Parts: sequence; C-alpha cells; structure tokens
Amino acid sequence: MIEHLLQSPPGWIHFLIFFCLGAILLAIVLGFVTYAILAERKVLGFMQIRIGPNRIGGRFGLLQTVADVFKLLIKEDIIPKLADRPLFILAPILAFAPSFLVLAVMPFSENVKFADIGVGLLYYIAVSGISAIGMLLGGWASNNKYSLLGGMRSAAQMISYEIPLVMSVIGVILFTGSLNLTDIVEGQKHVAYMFLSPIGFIVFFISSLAELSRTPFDLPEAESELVAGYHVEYSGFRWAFFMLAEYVYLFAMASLMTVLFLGGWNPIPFLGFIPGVIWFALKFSLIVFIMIWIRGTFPRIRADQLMEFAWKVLLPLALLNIFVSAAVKELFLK
Amino acid sequence: MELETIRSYDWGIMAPELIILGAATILSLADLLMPKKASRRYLAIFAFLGVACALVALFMQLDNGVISILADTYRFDSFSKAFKLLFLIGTGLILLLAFDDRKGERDEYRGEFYYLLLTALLGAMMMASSADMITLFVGLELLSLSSYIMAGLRKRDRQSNEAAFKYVVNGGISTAITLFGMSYIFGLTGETNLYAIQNALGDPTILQNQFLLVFAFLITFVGLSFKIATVPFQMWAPDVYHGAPIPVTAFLSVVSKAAGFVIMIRFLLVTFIAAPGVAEKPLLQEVQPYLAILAGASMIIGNLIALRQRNIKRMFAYSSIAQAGYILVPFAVISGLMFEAVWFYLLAYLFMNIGVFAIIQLVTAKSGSTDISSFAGLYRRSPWIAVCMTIFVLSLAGFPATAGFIGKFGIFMSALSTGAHYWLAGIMIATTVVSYFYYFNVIGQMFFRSEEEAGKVSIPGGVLTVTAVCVISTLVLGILPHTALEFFYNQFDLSQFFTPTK
Amino acid sequence: MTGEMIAFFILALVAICGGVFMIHSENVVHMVVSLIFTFLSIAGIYILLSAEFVAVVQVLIYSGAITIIMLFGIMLTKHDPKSEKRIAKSRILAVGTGVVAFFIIMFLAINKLSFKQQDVELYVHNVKKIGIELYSKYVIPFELTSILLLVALIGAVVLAKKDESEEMNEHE
Repeated sequence: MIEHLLQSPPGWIHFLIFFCLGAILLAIVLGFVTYAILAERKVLGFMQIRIGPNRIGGRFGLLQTVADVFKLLIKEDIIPKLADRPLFILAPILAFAPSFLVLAVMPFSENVKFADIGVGLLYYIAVSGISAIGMLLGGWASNNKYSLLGGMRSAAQMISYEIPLVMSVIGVILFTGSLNLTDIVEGQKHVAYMFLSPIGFIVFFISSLAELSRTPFDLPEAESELVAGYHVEYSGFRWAFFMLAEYVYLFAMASLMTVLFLGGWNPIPFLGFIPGVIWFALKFSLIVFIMIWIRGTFPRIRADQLMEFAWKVLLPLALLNIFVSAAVKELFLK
Repeated sequence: MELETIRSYDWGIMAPELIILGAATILSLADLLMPKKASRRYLAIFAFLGVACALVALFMQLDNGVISILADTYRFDSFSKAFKLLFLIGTGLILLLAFDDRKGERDEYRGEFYYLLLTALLGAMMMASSADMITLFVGLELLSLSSYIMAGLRKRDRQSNEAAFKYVVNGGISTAITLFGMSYIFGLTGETNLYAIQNALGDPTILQNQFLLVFAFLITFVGLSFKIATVPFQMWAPDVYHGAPIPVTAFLSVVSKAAGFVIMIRFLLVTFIAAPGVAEKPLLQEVQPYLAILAGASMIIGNLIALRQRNIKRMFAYSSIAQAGYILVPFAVISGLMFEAVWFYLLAYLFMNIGVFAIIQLVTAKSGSTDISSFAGLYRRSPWIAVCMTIFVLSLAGFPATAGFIGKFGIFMSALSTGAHYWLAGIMIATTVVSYFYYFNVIGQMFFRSEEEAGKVSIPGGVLTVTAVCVISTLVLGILPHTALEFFYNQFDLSQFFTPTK
Repeated sequence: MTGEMIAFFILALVAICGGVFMIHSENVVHMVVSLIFTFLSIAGIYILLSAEFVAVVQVLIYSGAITIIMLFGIMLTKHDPKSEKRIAKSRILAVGTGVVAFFIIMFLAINKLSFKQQDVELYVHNVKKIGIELYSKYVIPFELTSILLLVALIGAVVLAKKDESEEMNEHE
C-alpha cells in the first residue's frame, strides 16, 4: 500500500494518510512504553522478591504507569529563572524527536514497514546521534552545575559508545552487502547473523546498553549517587519527554537488534506457519527482557572504567570482528 | 573496475612516496616503543635515510615517461619528478638542521616532529604527482595539517602556541575559499580529473558560464595563495615564522611554499589552459592583470615591511613574502619560459633560504635572542659563518655570481618576453633595490658592528653539512646555471604536462 | 510550485537563518545550536537531490562533531556575554559592502547557468556506486585521507597531552 501511495501524485489526502500512519505508530510506541515501564518494575520486583506495582488497575497494576504519566502531565511546569529559556524548551524536543524519527525505517515484518530507504541502518545511527545534542543542551540550558556535569557525562558516554556500536555492525553489512534493513533481514533467511558474527553481536549489545544509558552504564542519570544527570532541573511533562525518549530508544534499539542479529521476522525452522510479526515481537521481547534482567543483576561501573572499557576493550573487539567477519564471508559464504 | 585492472598498474612508480610513508610509520612505532627517557634525536638520522632512499628511488625512475595510475589520481610525469626532487632535497637538508637544533631537545623534537615532517613531505609529493582534484586537495590538507601541528609543537612557548593558532585559523579560512572555488569548477564540469576538466571546458554549453569560470579561477587562486604566503593571505607568515622552531620555519618557507606553487601551476594551468574568458581573450590572459596586481602587492608589501623589522626571523618572513611575489611574476605573465623560471628560482631559493635559516639557527642559539643584533661582529667571531651568511644574503638580494641572480634574471626575462608587463618588471627592480637595504643591514651587522658578546659560534656536523651544501649549490647555480638548466631541459617535457595519458 | 520546491525553500530558509543566527549571536552555545539547524537543513537538501548517502553521512558526522564543538565551547569560553568587544561601525559597513558585492556577483554568475546533459540514473543504488568508486578509482586519495586522519589524531594527542615533567611539577 505504501508503495502505491509513494508512486501516486501528492495531495492533501496523502498527507492525511501518512499523518494517520505516523499517529498509529506513535500510539503503538506509547503503548509499548507504558507497559515496558510496568514490565520493568514487575520483573525487577520479581528478581528482588517483591511484588511490584499492584494497586491501580487490578492485581497486576495495569494502570500504574498511566497514573504516573497523568501525574507528570498535571504537575506544575517549572522553568528556572536563570535558565536559558529557549534552549531549555528546545532541549527535550531535540532529545525526543530523533527517537521517534528512527522508527521510520524499521521493518517490523515483510509488510509492516514505513520508509524502505537504501541507507536505513546508517540513517538510524545518524539520527539517533542527534539526541545526544538534546541532552547536552538540556544540561547546559538549566544553568546548574550538576546538570551541566551530567550533560557532559552523557555526551561523553554517547559519543564514545557510538563508535564501537557503528563498528560492530560492519560485519553484518559485509554479510549482506547492503545498508537496507529489509535486505539485512532477507539475508538471514537461513542463519541469523548473531551466529555468524558473535563478537559483533556482543559488542553491539553492550554498546547499545550504554547508548540507552541503562545499567550497568546508567551514569548519565545515576539518581542514587550523582544527583541525577542532565535533567535535574526538569520537571513535569518536559522531564517526561526525556524519559519518553529513553524508552522509545529502548523500543527502537531492541527492534534494531532484532533486525540486525536475530533475523527479524524470519521464523525458527519448521515453525514458519506463525506470522512474521509474532516472531518479531517474540525476539524483540526477549531482548527487552534481557535488558531488564541485566538491570536487576549488575552493579553500576565507574566513570573512568566506562571510558576505558569503550576505547580499550570494545573498539579493538569491534575491529577484530570486522576482520573475522570478512574472513568468514570469504571462507564460508562464497 | 576489476581487481586485475587495479593490479595491472605500475605501482612501483609510487616507490618514493611509499618509502616516505613506510619511514613515517616505522618512526611512529619506534617513538612509541622506545624507552620514555631515551633521546629521540637519532630518529632524525633514520628519517634522513628514508628521504635519501626516496631520492635514490626517484633518480632510478627519472627515465620513465608518463605513468598514470587509476585515472591520473597518481601521475608520474616530468612536472612531478622535477618538483619532487626539490621537496626531497629540501626536507633532507631540514632534517639535518633539526638534528643539530639542541635548543628544544626537551620537548619540540620529540619523535612526533620527525614523522610529521615526513607526512608533510608526503602530502607535498602527492600534490606534485597527481592530476586529480581530490588527490591534490587531500595532499594539500595532509601538508597543511602536519604543518599546523609542527608549528605548535613547542607547547610551553607562548609564541609557538600563537603561531600554531594563527596558522590553523588562517589555514582553515583559506581551505574553505579554495574548496569553494574548486566546487564551482567541479560543479560546472562534473569531473575531478584535471585533463577531463580541461576537455569539458571546451564544451559550448559549459562555456556559457565564462563569468563563473573566471570567478572560480580567482577564488581558487586566492585560496591557494595561503600556502605560498602572498597577498592576500600573507599575514600569517611573520607570526608563524617567528613563533615556530627554526627547522619548521625553514620547512614552511621552502618546501611548503614550493608545494603551494606546484598545486597552483598544476591545477590552474592544466584546467584552464584552453578555457576562453568573458571577452574574446583566453581566460588565462584575461586574469593576468589581477595576478599581476597580487604579485606586485606581495613584492611591495614584503620588502617594505621587512625594512622595519628588528627580529631576524620576522625579517626573513617578510623577505619570503617578497620572494614568493617574485615567483608569482612568471605565473602572472604566463610564457613558455615560465616553468624553467619558476623551477630554477625555487631551486635557488631552496638552497639560499635553508642556508640562511641554518645560520640563523646557529647564531640565535648561541646568543639566545632572535634580534638582529645577535649578528653583530659575527665576522670577527666566526669569519667563515659570516662569509657563508653573506653569500646567502647576497643571493637572496639577487647579486651576480649567485643562484638568486640567475633566478631573478630568468623571471625578469619571462616578464619581458610576452610584452606589456613592463610595469611588473619595473616593480620587481624597484623592490629589489629596496630589499638591498635590509639585506645589507644584516651584512653590516656582521662586518662593521663591534661584537656585543664574545665567543666563537661553533658549528656542529649536521649544520656544517647543510651550510656547505647550500653554499656550494648557491655558487654553482650562480656561476654555472646551465648544469641545472640542462638537467631540467633533458627531463622536463612540456607536452607531458598539458596532454592526458593515452 | 511543486512540493519539492516548497521543501527546498523551507530548507534553504532554515539553513540561511541558521547561518545568520550563528554569526549574530554572542553566546557560544546559541551559535552551535544555529549550526545544527544549518547542517540538518543541508542534509535535507541532499535528500531532495536523491543523495541519501551523503545526507545521512552529513547528519552522522555533524551530529557527533557538533556535540564535541559544544563541549569545547562550554569548556573553553567564559559564560559572560558582556565581555564581547564592540565592533566599529566602519568595519561593519565595509564587511557588509563586501558581502553585498559578493552576493551580486555570484547572483549574476549563477543566474544564467547552463549545464551539460546530466546523468539522471545516479541515485539508483547510490551507496553501492559510491562504494565502488571510492575503493577502485579513488583508492589513492582514500588511503591518503586515512594518513591525514592519523596525522590529525597524533597531532591532537601531541598538542593536548600533558608532559610528564609538567605532571610532576603539579604533584610537587
């Protein structure tokens, strides 16, 4: 259908259709975010032998997050007097918008995808980099030394881990010979790339944890030790925007990992009768679960260890992965 | 393009560049693995050996005709070998000079200096041996970037910091301007190969944009004039030459400047040789007045401001602006004599200027100041050094029986050969006369002032070699210029320069 | 007026405004933010030209680079907008005249631009074509660029690293 729409001449109807499609995706993503937060709290509770949210919305606390968000929205909107007002307002938008923009290229199944562009993977990496600017900007515009330090910390982490993240997918690009995400999934018909480039997968997974600033790399907002991060001065719905961006990135990153390494909507052999979207959802949920699991079990690492780990461990490993992947391709896939 | 096609090229022709690259790589590794406290001075010898090997490799290739690799992204022709020779000799001499510069042994001559010098040389060599806009530009940037860092290596010296900063800011602006001009040339023709551009400029549809072409030419020229330190990009030179360590200053004023002329000649002449201008005249003829104004302004500004300098390094910085102005004259006039005039002058300039800086290094290291008074009474203290300095200064001033005279004479003749450029030749004579004042001031200091501080200036081996080579070459080129010119005529074939490889 | 034209005008306007704000504002961070808008709209113009690879690389490189510039801007400047020097009126006038003259010349020059027949198939398999060109025909400048980057890296380390003797002095 999208194909057809793209071919026909432009008009207001088209604009409306695209707008609605975007709105539907946004609704799905928001739904995911709502229940991802709940799931996270539930799983963490389970791991720490607690019950977790259980009051609002029945036994399982199904409406807990909705209530939390509602609380955030009706909170007073505070902008510090000495803050740089325009930038203070701009920062959350700049942090959130890219997180939703990257979803445009994500193929969820053969049919459910929006923009099928040739440089999809590169687009994801490029656009997601803009968020770091939003965080740094938020930290600076608050005119508070703690938020500035937090912003610096986040920017340093984002930039450092982006490099192994990009390097680790080069193996996948080598196997497929394309940057198009659909082509990458198609290339995994027989075997998922996590088996062909395991080093790449591990490096990517670790770097993605850091990019999402999740435990053990959650220094940008270590609320218990470092007076939170770039968003100390934010409250209400502006703060919610930063948090939303983070969870939308969780959604996007888990989807990307599914697409790149777990074979996207491709089924496990002999189970091809189950539709692709379900497979995608299963693999995707598995990754989200593992990320929550890691949060429940790992301690936070120190800032200097954080940098050393990116530059001295992950980057060489990612470079090694490029070499190994090229060898694998030459020896086995020709 | 198949792998076979790529393999079929004669990659051996890149030997000089590859040797330099290899030497730089080994040096960087050696610097990393050596014990921290060990002196890095002996890395200079290794770097010198690398340059010498590259020179030998180049001599072995001299008899080859035009060899082009991958659509002229690397091109070996008479032009490239003539100028690569200059770069290699210049850098070799500068390395010897650096070997004996004990003043800054503690920090500025750490290993980095030697391999940055080699990468800068590599950039210059690529600028000489390519006929592709992209390679030329990357070579230019490699040279520039290495030079920026070398200028700022003396980190604890405020002047050096200032020099590096001014250099990098000015360099950035000039690069932007160059690139802006180049983008128009590329945009109009859609080609990066210089010969393809030359060819495309004959296309009648493109030729309707003559106005834009003239504009692109001038913008590119102005951008490139940064490297040769002429008007309008001359202001960085005095500060940078003053602040940088002396071997770096020598490198900037000789090799880097020659590389600037090389890229100007190669890029602008090859692309625009056949392009018509706005009026009926060819483009290159049409822009001549502008180039002549820039050349004249460089000569006047360089020589007049040099008169007022008390600092010897600044004085020679302004002198080098003026010298670049002289070399621009044949470019502004464009005649058949141009290539030999430019080449010969650059060769002569290489020897005399490196010689001057070698002696400045000796004398200022002894006295601890770069004021001109440190030369006072040098003749009584160390007569031989004073005599050598006199020879170099006379050569820079253009006195007969020195290389500088023959060079200036060649330029002068080329200015007169095409006619209607008498005024430019006039400016040249007038500014040369002006330059006598400050050049003779140095000589006067050495011979007629009483010494303020006693003490003979001792001359270490490396500088001695450099000075000896430079003195002998300056005199030989001055008395027997045909030795170099014959070599040039034998090796240089103008048709190789302007026509693409078949 | 087609949609492409509208998109172009919006992007061009944002790019120019970003540039003007960048020059005009006195606060380093504001300058950088204006730059972001300029770079992003230039990326948008590349997309209009079907050069998706260049567009994405533009965003990729500049979003990282801008963050770094901003970090440096914050670290290296004083947060005191009043310390700006006033620029003389005559100088503004001179520069303004220069800019206007430049604009007029350029406008006259590009107003009657004519091109050869353009290659219209270039956008098909854009990335692949760029890759093939880069690794075959332009492999020499490509490798030379890697040396260039290495030099820049070494240079940055050399200039920014503290000397050991300096460190020792600080400890004493």
